[in-house]
Amino acid sequence: MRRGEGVSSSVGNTVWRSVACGLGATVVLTFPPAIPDGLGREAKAQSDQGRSTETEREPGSGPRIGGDVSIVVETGSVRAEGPSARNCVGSIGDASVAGSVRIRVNGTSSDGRSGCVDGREAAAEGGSPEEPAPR
Amino acid sequence: MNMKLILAGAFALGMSSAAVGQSTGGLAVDVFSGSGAGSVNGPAIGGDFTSDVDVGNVTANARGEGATAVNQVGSASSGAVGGDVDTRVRARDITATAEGKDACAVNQIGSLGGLPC
Repeated sequence: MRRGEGVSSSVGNTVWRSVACGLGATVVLTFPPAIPDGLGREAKAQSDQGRSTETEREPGSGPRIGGDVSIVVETGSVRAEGPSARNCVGSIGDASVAGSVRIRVNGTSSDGRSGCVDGREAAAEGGSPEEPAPR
Repeated sequence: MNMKLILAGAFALGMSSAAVGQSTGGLAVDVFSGSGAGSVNGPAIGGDFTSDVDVGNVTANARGEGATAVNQVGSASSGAVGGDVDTRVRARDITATAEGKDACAVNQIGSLGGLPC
C-alpha cells in the first residue's frame, strides 16, 4: 500500500509538474509575441529620439578644430531663394578654431565669420559672383 | 597622423571621414537631408582633415511644409578635428531654394559650422 501510495503520490507530483510546466509553457508561449513587439516599438522610439538628439544642436556647437584651417573655394553663381534658403561658402560660422584661419573664396580673402548668407543678404552685398568657376 | 581616404566619385550620404574627396558631376538635393562629398559630421578625428572636391552645380530645393534640403561639400558641421583642416572646393553654380512653411534649404560649401536647418 505504501508503495502504491508512493506511486500514486509520484503520479500526482508528475501530474502537477506537468500542469505547472504546461502553464509555464502557456505563459511563455502567450507572451512572447506581445513582449518583443512592444519592446521593439519602444526601442525604435528611443532610437529615433537618439537620432533626433544627434541632429538637433545647440547654438555654438559647431566643429572644434585643434590646428589651422585653410579653405579655398571657387564657385560660379551663388543664389538663395526663400526666407530660409542659405548658402554657406567659405565660412567658419560657429566653429572653434585653435590655430590660424586662411580662407579664399573666388580669389578674395575672408575671415569666414560672415557665416551663411541668405538671398536678402546677398542682394544687400551687391549679389554673388556670376563668373563660372574655372574647371 | 594624417588620415586620408580616397573617395572615388563620392556623393555618399552621411559620409563621415577624414577625406580626400574627388568628385565630378553635380549635387542636387530635394526635400531630404544628406551630406555630400568630402564632408565630415560628428566624428572625432585625431589628425588632419583634408578635402579636395570638384563638383558641378550644387542645388538644394526644399519645397513643402517642413521640407529640408542640405548639401555639404568639403565641409564639417560638427565633431572635432585634432589637427589641421585643409579643404578645396571647385563648384559651378550654387542654388538654395526654400518654399513652404518652415522649409529650409542650405548649401554648405567649403565651410565649418553648424547647419542653420
